Amino acid sequence: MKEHAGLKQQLTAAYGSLPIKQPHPDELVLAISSESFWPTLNSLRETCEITFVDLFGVDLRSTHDAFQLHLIFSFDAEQTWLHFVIDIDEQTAAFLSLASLFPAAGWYERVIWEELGLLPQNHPLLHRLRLAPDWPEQVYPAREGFTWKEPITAHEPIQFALEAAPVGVVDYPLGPVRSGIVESGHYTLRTVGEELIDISVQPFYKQRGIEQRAEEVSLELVPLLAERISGTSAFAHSLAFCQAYERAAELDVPPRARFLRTLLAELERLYNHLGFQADLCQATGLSVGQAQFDLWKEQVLRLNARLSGHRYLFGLNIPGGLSRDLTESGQEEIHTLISALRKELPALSRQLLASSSHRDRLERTGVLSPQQAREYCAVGPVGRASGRDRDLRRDHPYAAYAQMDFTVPLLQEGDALARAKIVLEEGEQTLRIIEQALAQLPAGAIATPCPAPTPGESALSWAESARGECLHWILMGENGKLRRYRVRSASFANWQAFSLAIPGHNILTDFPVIEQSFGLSFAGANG
Amino acid sequence: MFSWIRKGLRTGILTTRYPAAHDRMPEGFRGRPVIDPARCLAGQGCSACVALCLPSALYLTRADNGTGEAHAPAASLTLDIGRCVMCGLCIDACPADALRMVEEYELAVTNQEDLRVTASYAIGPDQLASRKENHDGTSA
Repeated sequence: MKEHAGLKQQLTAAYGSLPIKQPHPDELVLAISSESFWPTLNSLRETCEITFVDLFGVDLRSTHDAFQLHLIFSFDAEQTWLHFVIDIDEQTAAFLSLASLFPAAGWYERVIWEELGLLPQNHPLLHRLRLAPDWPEQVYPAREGFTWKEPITAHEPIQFALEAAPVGVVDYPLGPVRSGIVESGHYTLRTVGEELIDISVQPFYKQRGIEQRAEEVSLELVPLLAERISGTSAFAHSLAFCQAYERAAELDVPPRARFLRTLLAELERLYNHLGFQADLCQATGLSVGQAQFDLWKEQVLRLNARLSGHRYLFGLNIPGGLSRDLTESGQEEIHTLISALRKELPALSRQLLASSSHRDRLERTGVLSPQQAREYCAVGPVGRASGRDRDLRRDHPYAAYAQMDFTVPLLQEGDALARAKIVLEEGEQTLRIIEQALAQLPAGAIATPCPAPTPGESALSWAESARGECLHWILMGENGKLRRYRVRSASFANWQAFSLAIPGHNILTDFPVIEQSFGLSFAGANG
Repeated sequence: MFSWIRKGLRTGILTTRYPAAHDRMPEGFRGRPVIDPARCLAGQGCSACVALCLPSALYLTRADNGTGEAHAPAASLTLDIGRCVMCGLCIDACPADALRMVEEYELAVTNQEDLRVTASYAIGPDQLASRKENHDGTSA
């Protein structure tokens, strides 16, 4: 990891009075007052190429007499996280909205408002986001003392009525109950003739209170909860939590565990990326293509089951390393499958991109422009198809990614075809990483005893899931449990950008293609 | 388009009929957990598995001994497969190897009660007495 004297010096020169802490070589923590944070960020935004990543609140009234806002930026040029901490007075319980500086902050502020009760002043659109419309007023699930053990009773049942569409406009409701294994989410698609002119999205039916639940259970059970944030990103989420735990406890995991984590994280990406193409083929009606990609996806899932006892790699990450080792025969099985895919995947990619019936449906469909992707901080393959040159595996290397040689594909078009190409290319890079991780796999232990972090200790951690970056932040409590657990999944970031890709040049039948090309998870958007 | 038809024909039929061809589950597969009541120490106050069960699929029903002790011996240990997430943490936590996971994965039943497996333990006054001594640290 780089020493980042550059950014630190720059910050000290510009805002000399700010106390800057450096808990880890790749993280700068700056305490900043609630009066000065808005102007500071306004000028910082103009002088530094920083990326908005996360904004969340913590209830510290029982020990610090204040709420705390945590605002996290990434400074990729120096592989550094910039972490602002802002105390918010309990009486005021408000802060100036950042949505005009960083449009992506809009959703994050709404979550803070509804779950913690802090008011973002001048927010452009302050409505409930994740909590149900009949959730009682003044009940804040992110405040200390709240418990899910008691049932929450709605104030009064709300009658839902569909808004009447203007003359000449037709609204199509889609979901929340849908065919297949699609999770519950609701769209209202607004059309004039064939053209899609607007969309409203409700992806928040699956709010489970995972963050709060994690604060109630013993630490060894938290990886189980992290895996359940989004089942198809289970390994990435449990990895991010375990890395946060290890950072807080200042513990290095054994080299073999780091390489195995890299390998398993890539196996997760591989089945997701194969499944992505299968789903996209389904959306364009290319049945044989769908069957081919599903076939390979199933082979990877079965390999996962043989390696780990679980098709979706649950139960492997534990604080301090991994719960199971990879056997010699397991290594051979991975090698055999990856070698076969190395031959097959490029051929399938070529065939797919040469199929005009498939390609024509993707070109110029669901365009997310580079500017929109920048403003709304799109992550993962969606962002990379719209010119966002970011990948945590390269920009903030974790596990053994620093030792891996791979490229991060990048396109500017931002349409469904660009997203499909990025995922195809990433799949091939994933095969390269798996081969390297296998070849370099060191011998030795797979886990090291991990003492609980000191109370009051906090840590930020991250992983690049198949859908993009997920961030976890933990604050240790006095009782050996977490005081605050914060999860920002890739899907939460990308759902905000999703609705921007709908209006303009798309027709109703493009919608399944656009939806699949974003490949978002409903569960991942919820906590 | 012809290339896909050729591809499909070359691949052939790969699916198997269910349930005529059972797939063997790999070694270490986390299937249905099974309690061995003969080994289980829940009757002697052990609750190692229960403490680690995130979805509360394992639970103890206390003997009504009137003492209200936190570590009172259990009268029965129940495993509710309907709640179990097959994480396997209880298997590792069990000090007496009384829990194991079997290959079985077809868990559907027609009656919800059939999902619950209960191991019962007879609690005699002798056991209660010896347990108390252990807690006082007067007897090993």
